[in-house]
Amino acid sequence: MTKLAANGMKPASGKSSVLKKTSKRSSQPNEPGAAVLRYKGSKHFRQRVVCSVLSGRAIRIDDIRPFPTTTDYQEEVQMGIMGHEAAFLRLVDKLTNGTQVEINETGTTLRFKPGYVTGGRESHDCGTSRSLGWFIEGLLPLALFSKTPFNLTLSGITNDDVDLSVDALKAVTLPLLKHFGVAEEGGLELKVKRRGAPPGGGGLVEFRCPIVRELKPIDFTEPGLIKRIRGNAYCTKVSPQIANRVAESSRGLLNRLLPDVWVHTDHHAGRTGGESPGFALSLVAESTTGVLLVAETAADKGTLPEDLGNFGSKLILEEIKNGGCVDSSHQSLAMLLMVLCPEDVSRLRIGKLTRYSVTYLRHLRDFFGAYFRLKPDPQTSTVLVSCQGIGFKNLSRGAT
Amino acid sequence: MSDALSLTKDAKKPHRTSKSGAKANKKKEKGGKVERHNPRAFSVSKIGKTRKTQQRNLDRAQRKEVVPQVDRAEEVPPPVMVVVMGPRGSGKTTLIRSLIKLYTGHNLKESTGPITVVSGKNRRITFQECPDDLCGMVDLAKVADLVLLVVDGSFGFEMETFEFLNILQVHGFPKVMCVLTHLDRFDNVKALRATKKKLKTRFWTEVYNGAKVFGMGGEINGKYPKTEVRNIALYLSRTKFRPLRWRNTHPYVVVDRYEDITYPQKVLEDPTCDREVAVFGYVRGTHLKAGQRVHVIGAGDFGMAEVSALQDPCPLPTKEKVANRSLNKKESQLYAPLANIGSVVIDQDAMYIDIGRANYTRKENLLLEDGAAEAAGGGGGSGSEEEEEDDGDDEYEEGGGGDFDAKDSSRLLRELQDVRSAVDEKMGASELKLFGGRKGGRKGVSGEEASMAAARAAAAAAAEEEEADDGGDGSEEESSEDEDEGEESSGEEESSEESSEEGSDGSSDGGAMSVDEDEGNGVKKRKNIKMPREERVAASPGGSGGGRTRRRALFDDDDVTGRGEDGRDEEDDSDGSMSEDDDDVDENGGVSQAWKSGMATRAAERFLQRKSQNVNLQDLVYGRPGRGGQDNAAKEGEDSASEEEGGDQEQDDDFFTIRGGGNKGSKRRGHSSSGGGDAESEDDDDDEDGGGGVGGGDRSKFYPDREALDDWEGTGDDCAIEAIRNKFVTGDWGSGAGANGAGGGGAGDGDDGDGDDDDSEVYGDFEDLQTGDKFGPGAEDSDDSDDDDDGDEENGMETEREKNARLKAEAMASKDEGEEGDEDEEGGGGGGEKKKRLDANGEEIEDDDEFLREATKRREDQQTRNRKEFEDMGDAAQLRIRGFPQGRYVRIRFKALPAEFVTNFRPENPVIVGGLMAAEEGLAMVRTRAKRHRWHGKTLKSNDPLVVSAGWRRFQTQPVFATEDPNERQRYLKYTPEHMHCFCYFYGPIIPQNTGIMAFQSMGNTATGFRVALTGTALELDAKFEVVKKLKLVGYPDKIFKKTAFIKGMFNSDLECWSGSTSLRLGGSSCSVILTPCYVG
Repeated sequence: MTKLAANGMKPASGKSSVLKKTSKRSSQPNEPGAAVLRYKGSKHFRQRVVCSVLSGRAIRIDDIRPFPTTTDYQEEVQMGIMGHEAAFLRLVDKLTNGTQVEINETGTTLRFKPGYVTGGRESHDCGTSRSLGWFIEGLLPLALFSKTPFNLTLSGITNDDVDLSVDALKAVTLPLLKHFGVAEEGGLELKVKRRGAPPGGGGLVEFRCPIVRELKPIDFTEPGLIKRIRGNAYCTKVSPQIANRVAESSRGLLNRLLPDVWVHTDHHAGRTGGESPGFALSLVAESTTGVLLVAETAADKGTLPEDLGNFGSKLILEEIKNGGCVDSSHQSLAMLLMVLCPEDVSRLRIGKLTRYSVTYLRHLRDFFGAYFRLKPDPQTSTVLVSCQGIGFKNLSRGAT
Repeated sequence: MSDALSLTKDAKKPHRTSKSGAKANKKKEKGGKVERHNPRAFSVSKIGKTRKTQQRNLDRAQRKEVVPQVDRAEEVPPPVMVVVMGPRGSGKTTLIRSLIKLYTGHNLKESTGPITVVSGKNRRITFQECPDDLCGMVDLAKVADLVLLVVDGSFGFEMETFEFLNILQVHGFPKVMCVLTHLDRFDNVKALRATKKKLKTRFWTEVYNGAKVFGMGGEINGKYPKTEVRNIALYLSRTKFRPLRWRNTHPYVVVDRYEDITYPQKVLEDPTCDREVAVFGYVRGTHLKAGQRVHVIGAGDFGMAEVSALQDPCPLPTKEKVANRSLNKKESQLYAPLANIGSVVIDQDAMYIDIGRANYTRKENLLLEDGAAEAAGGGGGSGSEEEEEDDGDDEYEEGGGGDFDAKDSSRLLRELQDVRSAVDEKMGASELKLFGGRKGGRKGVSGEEASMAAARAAAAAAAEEEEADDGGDGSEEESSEDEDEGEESSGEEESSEESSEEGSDGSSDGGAMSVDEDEGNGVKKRKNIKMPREERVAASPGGSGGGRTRRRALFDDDDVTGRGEDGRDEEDDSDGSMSEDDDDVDENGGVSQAWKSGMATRAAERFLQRKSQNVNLQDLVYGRPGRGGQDNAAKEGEDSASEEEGGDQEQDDDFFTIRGGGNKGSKRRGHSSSGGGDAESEDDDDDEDGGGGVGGGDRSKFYPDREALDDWEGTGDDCAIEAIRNKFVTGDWGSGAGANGAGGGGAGDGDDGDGDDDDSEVYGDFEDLQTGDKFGPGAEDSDDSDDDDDGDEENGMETEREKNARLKAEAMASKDEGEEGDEDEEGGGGGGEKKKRLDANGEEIEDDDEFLREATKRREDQQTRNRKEFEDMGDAAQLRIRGFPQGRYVRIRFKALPAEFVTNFRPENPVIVGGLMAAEEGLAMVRTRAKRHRWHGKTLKSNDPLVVSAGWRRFQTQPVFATEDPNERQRYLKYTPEHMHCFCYFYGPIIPQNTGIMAFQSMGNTATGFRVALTGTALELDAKFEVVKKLKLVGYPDKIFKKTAFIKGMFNSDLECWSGSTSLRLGGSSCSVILTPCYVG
């Protein structure tokens, strides 16, 4: 079924004229109710693929990095679809049935016709260009609307400074799903078997997710008061003392506000430590109404543990200051799930609307025709987000 | 004698128990039971029986509990869809005609298309006659709320009736009533009664015992007797409807008016070109969203180019007006554009307006035109009036406006008819002033045209007057005309003014008017009269198509308004985008610098102003809707599309640029008061690295500025940390709650269930394990009342705990109250009152139905939320977010329907536009559980084509039948099994699970027997399924070599061509292997 044609990494500058042509053709705007959605540019790749699978609408993305550029990580020239994007497509392809993926020679154009999410037991190497959080975050909504429950073994980077880490996913993202009536009987879990820090990776996680028939609309507008802060400072292939130093320094600022701060330390060595040394901190603030806010940071080259801890605590304070019932990293996921609810109104209070959420909102409009009401609340400088679900049902699931 | 005596003495007389009297009664009371000393101890005397009764009661209670369907009814529901179905000649039209006559007093000629009437104070009914073919039956079964099955009593049931009942069953059984007609053909009362009973019982077995059956006597004047019709009407008005699942999740529109608005030139050039079509109807089911894909039954899937809400053509009377009385004739309206009501006849390619007698045209002209009209209309139009008179209906005659006496207006109109030169010629002669206001333009108009404009104005006014007269007459020209009067409320003056304005524009409006009349392009006479009004509708911003039918007029107006609006938009934008534009100019240099003075202060002012205006986040995200609040979502979509194009020109790889400079202005100032403005600015900033770098694109994590984070280091009373202290439980609760929850609840109020368990934890003391510090609640001022803090710690703890318990109890109480009624929440009330209610409620609570009540409560809460959430938003915004709710009258424009839709359009066939949910378009393999209908004569064969009806669609496909073996293998079946379900796989449009499906071998009317071949439900969708077939490979040797042989006739199809190293038995010898399988035709 699947044609995963080419993962174009070749710098082929001669083709640019051809590409121009295709881009002209694709500059047709998306008409309301058009069958195939057309996009341009490399941004928001994951959003588009995920929305496409959920909505069943084919997409075509042109001009994916049409001109060669260099990146920070690798010194080689990058053009077209990148490693993690190809890996994500392969993973989606593994977990679906009937997906058609076509990528042109240079990797700058993608045609994606979604199939049915089948799920099941799969293992996948996610590479080292993006962390596992990027993959799992994208897969979560697909996992809910699958034919069989997901049981994935993914390998790659578990913690980095770009995406959500596995700790944050475990502590905040999965509990967020429970608000939507997911996994009331359990079955939703993320097990970290091995840690993997960038650039080498080598982490291994097990991800299980149950399926749902339909979601439950939410009314999640009371942020409550922060009652405790929990954290996880992990280190791998470095001195175990580093994690302690991170934990210790992260408490300094927070203890001025709240005594109930507890940061776990998690040291990995040997096989469970992955390929590269590294350490990171993720902090979770929990409120009286069950709100969970996460902030996290990972060490770069030459970062002092004390600085990292301090920085992490500032980040969580920033999140708390922004307020809202979900933190800035989880706005988009919550909004997607709100759209996928039955035809009832869901409400959510968020802090500042991030730029990622804004593009997500536009994609939700394109794919699902869903508009949100965004009501700023100047008193608390939060935003009340509400929408009517589109009556989404799990079409992949079999009935008896 | 003595013997006898002696006998009695010898044999002792046995005791005779008394059979009556007090003693006998006493014994009877006891019932021969052993009296127990303590009856309470033996309350269950018969365990088995008690168990049985209890079980039975429980079972019955259980059976009563159904998963409640969410009722998505709106305040003003759409008209009830009543489908009148029956075989040919059974009296459907007569029934509809009688009912319409009863409701509105109107005599219907034909009953084509949906006919909507106001039947009562709060009910409207749409009648639709079911056409005589299977497709129509299938389509209408999907939308019917109530079905009147008309059965020819003198003939008995016909196959169609049962087929239709079966179709209904598959597509969610709506209410069904039976009407027996032609009962006057019985001359024997006994036979009549017996037949009635027979038919009734048969009908009951099909539907349910006690289903309503009406009997109809003979026709009088082409209608059924009044009393019997009234009886049906009574039931129609009383029936309640239960939501059906498919319709509870899908929006649909039963089209009651349709217009082909393709540019005629296009059709002339290519008669088979795709047509632009506008359809009208009430939204039913759920919300119809503007961006939704729809399935036009019989035509295919389409995107809606535009959806707009129109004024209800057949509105319910206002509640206050009819509070204490029944409807009068004027209120019981009739709306049926497809049913040739009044004097409009719809032909295949045109509408003919029967103007009856001409009031305006001079006699000499009339004669000529009459002849022409007859030639054109084929007598269809002009003949109808005579027919009507033959009908003996005197009411109708007034409709023509017999008592017309507006001489001035008729004179004016005659003058208009005398105009010999066309408007464009006049245009050529006239002067055109491009600039200046309308007044200036008026001056420029030549005298001749000015007089024309005046004449038009006067004519319009006259038309209005005439209409008012008609309405006053109360004649039926019409109840449907009344509906338009609602629009008219703006008054004659206005319309005359407008018409004069239009005239003064010197545009070709007048020309359009006359030209359109010539074309006869789908307008009623009534509309014609009201032309000025219509133009106004088209001209009003965004109100696209309030019954708009004139293309020419539309183009002109659109252009004009479009230009005007754009201008306005630009003006609106200017305050935001100005600064940017100016900067550009500045870079180019050479522009006057005067405006730059005090720019910063002005910017600051504007910033503050905007801040106070609550930056509209929605506009920032979705683009500005514009169009003065009248916009609709589809329009907005087009807007954003054009924006994209604009963006393309500027930045080639930029995607989805937001129009309007407001956000950009805010970016420049970098204010962070509103999340939206902030986010926007960063979006713009980040464009580049998002495109290229790894770190930039596609990540949900959000990083604030590193510099900004340094603020957290500060100390002192007004440092950043102190500013958020109240967001923690350690802060001041009162202000903390204020700062957190706009809902005012917060955790401190103790009125939400979730928070309270956690509160108790908060109150408790704990030890910080890492530092070893101990924290007691006394250390933190954790409650509103600070009194306790002064006491010593232990004491404080004690009281805190007590208080905690009390709070918890109160929370429980308020929770229970909430379940009883919402008004309590608003009341707030004192604690004492709450407590009392708790006690009262506490007794009522039973554990058994706790769950059920909880569920009900949750559903009710949700429904209030649904209702309330967008209430304050204004109509346009609501329509955009929620979609068009049921009961709205909408116009849907399709850009490209196939030409066949137009050429084969017949008003008697229903046109249904069904909304598709996300992921319901596209094709897939579908697994269904199906059973051949036992009345269908033949078994069905795998791969024989079937016409399947599922969801909204009808499609032809090739099914493969299979059955499941004990080892879960799906084994191929060549034929459907007898009396058994099997799995049926086919490739077709996506159908949600548990949707009913049915299949026919042919949809034609020529088929004999029961046409429903198969019924079932959809089970699963996938890209492919595995169905296996057991092959017996039998072949005959063709050529034999040493170790190889060609075997002939082994495979019967390409599919069977199979090679594998399975051992084949070759007449007793050992194994062999198939080398090259191949099937040659």
